[in-house]
Amino acid sequence: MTDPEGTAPPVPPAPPGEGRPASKQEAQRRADRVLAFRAELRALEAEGAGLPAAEAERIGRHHDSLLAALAERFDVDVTEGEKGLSRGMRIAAFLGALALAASVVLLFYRVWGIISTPVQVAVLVAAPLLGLAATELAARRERSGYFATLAGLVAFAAFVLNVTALGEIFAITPSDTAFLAWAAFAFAIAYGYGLRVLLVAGIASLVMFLSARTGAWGGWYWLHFGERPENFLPAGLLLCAVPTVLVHRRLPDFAPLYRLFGLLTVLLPVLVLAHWGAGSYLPLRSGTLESIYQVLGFVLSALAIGVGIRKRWNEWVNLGTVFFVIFTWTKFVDWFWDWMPKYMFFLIVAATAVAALWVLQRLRGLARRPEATP
Amino acid sequence: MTRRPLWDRRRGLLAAALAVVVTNAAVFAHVGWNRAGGPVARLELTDREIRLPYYNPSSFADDEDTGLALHLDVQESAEAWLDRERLGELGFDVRTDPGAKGAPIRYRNVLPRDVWLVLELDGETLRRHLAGLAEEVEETRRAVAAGEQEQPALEWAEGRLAEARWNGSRLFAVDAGLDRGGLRERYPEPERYAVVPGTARIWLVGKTKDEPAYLTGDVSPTVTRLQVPLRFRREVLRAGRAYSERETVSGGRYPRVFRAEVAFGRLGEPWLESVEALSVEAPASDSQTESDMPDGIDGESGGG
Repeated sequence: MTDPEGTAPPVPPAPPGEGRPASKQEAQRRADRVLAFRAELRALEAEGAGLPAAEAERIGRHHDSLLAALAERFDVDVTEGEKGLSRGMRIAAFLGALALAASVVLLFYRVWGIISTPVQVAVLVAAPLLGLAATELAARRERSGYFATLAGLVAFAAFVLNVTALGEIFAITPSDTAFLAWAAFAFAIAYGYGLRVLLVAGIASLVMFLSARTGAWGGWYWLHFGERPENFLPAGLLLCAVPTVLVHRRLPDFAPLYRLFGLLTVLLPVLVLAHWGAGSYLPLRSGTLESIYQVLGFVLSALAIGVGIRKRWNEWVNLGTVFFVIFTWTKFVDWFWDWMPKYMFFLIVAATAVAALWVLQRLRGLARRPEATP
Repeated sequence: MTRRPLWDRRRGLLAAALAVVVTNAAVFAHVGWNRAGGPVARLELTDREIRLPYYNPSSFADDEDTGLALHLDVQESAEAWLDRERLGELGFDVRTDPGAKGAPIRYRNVLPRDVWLVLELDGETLRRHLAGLAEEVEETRRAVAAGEQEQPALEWAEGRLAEARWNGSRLFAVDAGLDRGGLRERYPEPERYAVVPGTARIWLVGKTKDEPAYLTGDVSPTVTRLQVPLRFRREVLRAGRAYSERETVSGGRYPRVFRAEVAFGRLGEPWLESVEALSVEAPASDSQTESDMPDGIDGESGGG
């Protein structure tokens, strides 16, 4: 991924049962475990239950060279201070990418009226390719991946502009295959450079394509696919299944993103239909459909929480909880808002929040499993 | 020996570049295919059918968007040619009787379908449209004379007729179908008809005391926006300025300020072939329908 290819110092031999980190995320987790181990060892020493000095020193030297190697090869954070800075850098990279992408798009629209068609075409085709070159250059020069993320997002925005603007210039009938092209582009960069933001862009584009195509297969004009939220359900289910079919050994942080957006792509349409039954394909009364989707919403979000706890998928637990609360509160608004005194309404909302806390606490206790002692 | 990963940076870079190249190649192939062999139809339109960018002295071309675009103004005929049978031919499921109990749910918010549309320029549909408006004027005139309606109603009806006759778009959507070749055979004149991609919608009109429930719909072209290439920019800007500053001549008639030839390819997608800003003089006739108007109907208030 960001490996300088042959210039990194050798990583110390891996302990039995653990391989060498294959990605920055794995390396960061290893570094986090080392730091946690060190903090716990200090606490044990203070309590008089530490390791013998020679052994502690041997382990300490091993960890020192391991951290140095990981930092050199993967640019991981080895202190809390570095972690905080990294979080800031991620936010800055993302905002910077959005701003730069907006700037590129607006610059084109600022000048396209005063340049000839061949020049317009040349600029539009060159822009994403230049963005790719910048992404490659950034990845080679800087191992953290932040600048590569920035360049990759700008390249993606340039490709979206490429296709959209060509469609306007040549008055091409809009087609949903544009989403497929954008998805392919984003996935290629995401998997090639290990960039999660580009994976999200690819997932979003793929969801749009699959949803539009689902609508088109029903015979409808694809551009109106958003008027039928059910079009998004097959895409959501497919995304949830991806990590099961494709094992992401090299990029383990990608699997949670598929699960997260897969679940979101299922729950959000259900939430919409729970309040807008007329948007359903099903030939039933709006009120009946809304009731069906409300029940479905509760069931799915509860199921997501349960499966998330069992499989240790935090993203499903969190998202399932959020949607469960949303479904509950929107139901309360339907039932109580018009007639109940407002102070009492919010009291009930608060009571359900407390109840949810209690339930989640109990579930957390059930999820705890005793660690095996060596 | 270390196994090479299935996907690495080099492959990612190549795949992304390939996506760009293949997509652009597909776009150019599409455009080339549409325009190959020359236009299938060519319509000469004026500022009646093309909405020019509005000229604002302070910022004609938006500072943030220097692109200029022309918009085709396609009229819908008042004739209800989209009935249940035609809608069924366009692919809508119309098996449920409009008067049936479940019809409102069945036909609720039905999504549009893509179809091929026939656009007619300055043809029989326009003639019938104008004749229909002229008949309305006559009926209103009789009603005013009989004291059943007020004079403003007559002025309004006459204004509608004058607007449609002199200034309104002469471009109508007159037919639709799923077979483009069949439509081209039925409407072969390339200077009067263009077959273009469009969409059709369906909805249920509820029962009234005079009429039972029925199905109807409308159609609209998918592409109505034409980006102006650089070589036509000056003419369009001139025309836009003249359009914004034009004043009516007699009878609410505006002079023509713009003429454009719009070509349509084998995929029905349009492009601008030529553009001309006209000098704003006494308006010349731009419609053969002028000579077809019934005597005595000239769109002027109180005229006879």
